[in-house]
Amino acid sequence: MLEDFLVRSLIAGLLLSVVAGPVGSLIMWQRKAYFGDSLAHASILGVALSLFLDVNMSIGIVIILLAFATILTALERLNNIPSDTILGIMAHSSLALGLVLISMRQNLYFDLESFLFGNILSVTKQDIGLMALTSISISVLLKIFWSRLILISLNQNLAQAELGNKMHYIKTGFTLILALFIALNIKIVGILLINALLLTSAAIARQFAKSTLQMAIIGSVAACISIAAGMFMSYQIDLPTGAAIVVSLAGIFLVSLLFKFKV
Amino acid sequence: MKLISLNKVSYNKDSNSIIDNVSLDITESELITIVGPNGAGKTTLLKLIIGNIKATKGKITRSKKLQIGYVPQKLNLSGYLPLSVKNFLSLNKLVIEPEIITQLRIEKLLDKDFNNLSGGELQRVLLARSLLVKPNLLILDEPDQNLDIAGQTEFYEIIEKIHKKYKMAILIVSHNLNMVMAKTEKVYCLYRHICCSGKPEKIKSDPKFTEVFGNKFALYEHHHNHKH
Repeated sequence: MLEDFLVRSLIAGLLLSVVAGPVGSLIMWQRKAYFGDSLAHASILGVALSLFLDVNMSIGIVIILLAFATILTALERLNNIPSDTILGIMAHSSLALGLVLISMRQNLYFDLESFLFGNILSVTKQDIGLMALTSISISVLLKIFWSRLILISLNQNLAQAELGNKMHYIKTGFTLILALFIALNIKIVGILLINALLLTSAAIARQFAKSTLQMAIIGSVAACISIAAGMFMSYQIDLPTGAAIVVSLAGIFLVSLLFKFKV
Repeated sequence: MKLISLNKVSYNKDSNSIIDNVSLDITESELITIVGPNGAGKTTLLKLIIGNIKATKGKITRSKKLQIGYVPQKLNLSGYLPLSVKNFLSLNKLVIEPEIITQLRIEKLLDKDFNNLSGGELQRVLLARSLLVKPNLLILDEPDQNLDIAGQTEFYEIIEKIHKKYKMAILIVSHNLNMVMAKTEKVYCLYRHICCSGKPEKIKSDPKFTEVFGNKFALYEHHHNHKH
């Protein structure tokens, strides 16, 4: 029968995909694709921090990503450098700094590759607990703020006129949700591929969805199928998990395009 | 009652002055137009009024009863977001009122996807949403941008009816001088600061106005004379 770690991985994958659909859709609507990628890159610094402080990876990553988002907001006021350039600089310097710090502690057993491309074997019971906690809280928060987040995606002035200053809190809240999501799921999918999971499942969902809710649900289903397929491949033929998941997703995306053009 | 009042408000970005020392009040049920050429700071002024950005200098006072209904120029849609008109109107738990739907003639659009609306249809749907929040200040951002002349005339007739019926204050922002309606009670001419303000008839003879706009306003008058 299934070994324990496989059950763990499947539960982790399910928890991940429930949130991936709605979060991915919102990233697409708010055009935050590059931002998600940057957060993922910066999380390697969080990994380094966890190694130095000897705490759970997820906690180190959450701390770094929250700091990242805060510093970014402050730096965006620099008017002589475009914000996507600032974002790129911050993401890659954090990545580089993380790598430097990690290699300074080379004596530690550390498998960098599994962080870049994901590794289901690395998911511990503690991780599952943390993932369940964040996935449930994120789902509840998204349920409450869903239509307001859509309003913000549609037009910020409109959202401000209707929601008042609450709009800014909701915007910041979504950034934090994104940071949390990335921090908690990076072990499975990997730093280089987590953003692809979000974007591709949203893009697949867009081919079929007729409403925002449908898009979130179909996105989650697509993520779930590809995670299961990716984990299966990863287990059977020893592929990096994240890569196998994203390849499955890309396959589904291609099929969804064929379906779209045929109909 | 004053709904909102701007007292010597300035807004700078870097060291550039975008809005300079603007004072204006909007009181209940008045119809105001702000005109200004492109780059005059109209969008920034709107953001200040709505509260999306904070003034660098000066003070903005809002009545506690202020409820803004906002009709944006456009939405960031471009097909990424699947949304029916009905779902758009009821976002954030708004109750769709049949009376408003009928008045704006959008009954048949309710089940349509938002992305398949024409410029005029979109404009009426956006207006409907702004009315559903029961505003006492309705703000229209360049409402004539995506409409042809016939559409513009029709749209402004709707606005007039709404104003008569609900008696809310209306603020129209436009770069299109043709749209400075005869019905507008007060026109502010904006070019970073307020160059001049007053009734439309007074504005047209103001030399400061022609300084900013040239003789375009005279063209409008010409058009106006023909219409009647």
